[in-house]
Amino acid sequence: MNTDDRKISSVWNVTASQMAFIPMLILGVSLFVVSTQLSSAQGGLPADQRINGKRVWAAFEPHREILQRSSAVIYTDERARVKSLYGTVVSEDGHILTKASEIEGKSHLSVRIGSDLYSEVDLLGVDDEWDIALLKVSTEQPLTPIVLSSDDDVRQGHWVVSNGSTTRIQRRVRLGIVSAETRKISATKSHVVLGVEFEKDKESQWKVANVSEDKGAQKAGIQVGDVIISADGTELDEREDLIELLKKKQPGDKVAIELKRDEKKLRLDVELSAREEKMTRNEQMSGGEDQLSSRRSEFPRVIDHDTPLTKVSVGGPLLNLDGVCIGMNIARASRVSTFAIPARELREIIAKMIE
Amino acid sequence: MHQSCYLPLRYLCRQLWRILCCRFIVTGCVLVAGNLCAGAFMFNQQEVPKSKADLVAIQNALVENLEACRMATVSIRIGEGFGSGVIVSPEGLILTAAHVTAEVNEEMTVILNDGSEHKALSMGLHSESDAAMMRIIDEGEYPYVEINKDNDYRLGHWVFALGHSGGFDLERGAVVRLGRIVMENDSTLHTDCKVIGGDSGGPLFGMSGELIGIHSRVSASLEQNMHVPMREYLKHWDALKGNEFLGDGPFAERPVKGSGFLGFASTDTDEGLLIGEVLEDGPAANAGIETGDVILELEGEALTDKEHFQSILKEKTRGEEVELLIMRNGEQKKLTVKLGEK
Repeated sequence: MNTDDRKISSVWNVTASQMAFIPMLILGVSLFVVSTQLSSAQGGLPADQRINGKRVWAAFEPHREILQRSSAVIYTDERARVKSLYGTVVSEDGHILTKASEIEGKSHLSVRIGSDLYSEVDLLGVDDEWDIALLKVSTEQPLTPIVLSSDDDVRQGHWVVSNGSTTRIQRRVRLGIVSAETRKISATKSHVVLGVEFEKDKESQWKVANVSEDKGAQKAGIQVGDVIISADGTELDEREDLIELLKKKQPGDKVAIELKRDEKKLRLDVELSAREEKMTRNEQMSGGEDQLSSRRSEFPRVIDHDTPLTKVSVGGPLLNLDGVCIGMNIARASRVSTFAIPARELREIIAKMIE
Repeated sequence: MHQSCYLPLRYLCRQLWRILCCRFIVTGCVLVAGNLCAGAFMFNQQEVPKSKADLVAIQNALVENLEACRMATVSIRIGEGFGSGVIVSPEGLILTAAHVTAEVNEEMTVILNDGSEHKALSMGLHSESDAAMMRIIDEGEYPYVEINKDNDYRLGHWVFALGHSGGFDLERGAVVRLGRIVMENDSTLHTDCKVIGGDSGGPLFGMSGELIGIHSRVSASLEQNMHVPMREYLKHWDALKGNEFLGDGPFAERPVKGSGFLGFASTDTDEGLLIGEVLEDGPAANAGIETGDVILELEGEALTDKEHFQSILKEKTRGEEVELLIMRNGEQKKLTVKLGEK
């Protein structure tokens, strides 16, 4: 057993030959790394019988056929070799929705539906609020759009089916269940920082607990123990208030911070710096930032499900056991969570974007 | 981890025990609790679901039991950290992971699914298997789940995990994940129910809603999620209830002698130990000790000097309570201080 940092960082560099001894991460308030002998020697459940094993997928063949017809494979490389994302077919005449931020700035877009490749793809519009792009392919044969659910009640514990991996010819399913309340996902962090850590003290005031070296806050003279009252005139009640404010700022911008020190009020201008991404423990347990969608917060309302997608397998439809589309996968959020835009909102988005 | 040290004899005994258990369980199921027997589900007897009807059966079992299981799943807050737990008695007895509570007899906060917060105390823990117990202090009648005491969960059985992943979130609630038991050994159940930080200590259920395990740790693979099986709790039940610290790690560190900490500066005087600066929010300050107090006795022993004081303290560990007799403004006063960690 070991808890030192060197071992923790090695977690993400395991090669196949080291797989017998996989470092483990403990899930709670502390982080441990332990080694344990795993797998076949002890006769675990065969891989094809696990929840996302081939033989379990077989029971979902009708769903696979729907994905075969009504999901799109989206490529951004010139030769249409490497799948970048999935899309959801929403009209007979070639409208497809996908995740906007993943195709942003790509000069080559092509799309495969069934086994047909479409290399003429128009980007008709983008909805920033939902991170959705509307694509259009020209087709003589009418496409088969997904059947959108009219039932707004997505029950927790119900099976959901998404696009898994794919070949040029054949789509595959990936399985999960609805795992939490359908809800709004707020911003979790800003791209710029003041360079302080806060804690809420006993009187519910935001007290500076730590000041980072060489960041704006230290240069402006903010000290540990200062109580932050407002930023740019906005009073700070909740952490989100500050995040909302900082979201609109760029590195180098200044924020006027009003604070209380020893019963005296001070006003300091703090220059913002870019956030140096330090992986959180839960991002680490999710396989690192690379495994997750870059845009995975700030959605007005999402279905939360436990299907193990990757950031390149979102964009496709989310089906229920009846094969009805109850949403569209929009972000891989963590090891345990994938977000989908619910059918109700999807219907509104489609109506608005295609009109 | 521990696997290398099995003796063949021990293995044989275990197999024999399992056979006996199975016999007993089969009888038990028929006679007493048919609905609590994991094997009663058709889908648990199939290698894989074959039809939509099989999938519906899994979904129905999950939906039917989810609400009650969710109500009993709690978030545990310790300082800035979060774990999970599950209530197993109406009075508020909670099972969780040893690396969540980390200490015996510590105060922590439990948050129920509806957002209500309750003071709780950690009880015993087993630092080798990661099992731990705690209880809500506030009197009340709490939602709880039944423990699977029959040890009849098997490889391939369908299971679901609940927990407050990443900490408590009122709008989201406890998060549920579906999977199967993919591996099993003495002290650990492995499933492909994906769990993450904050889920630690949360419950793993069989499809009839009976508690079979507690989340402990994961590997980088999404299919390796490890849980402490109920048998580990049942084996040590009385010791856990009796606030015992069992085993020697790695999931919790046994407090060592001399690790206790009071949090003040002092100087020798003729009457006793004169308290100088008292650390803000430290153990002494929290117990009401003030600058200018003079300590006369520690644990009933009259103090000769500072060295004497430290020699008594050296035998104590963090979390232990010590009794002080002090003199303040000419009056003697007894105070109890719970030692902090150095």
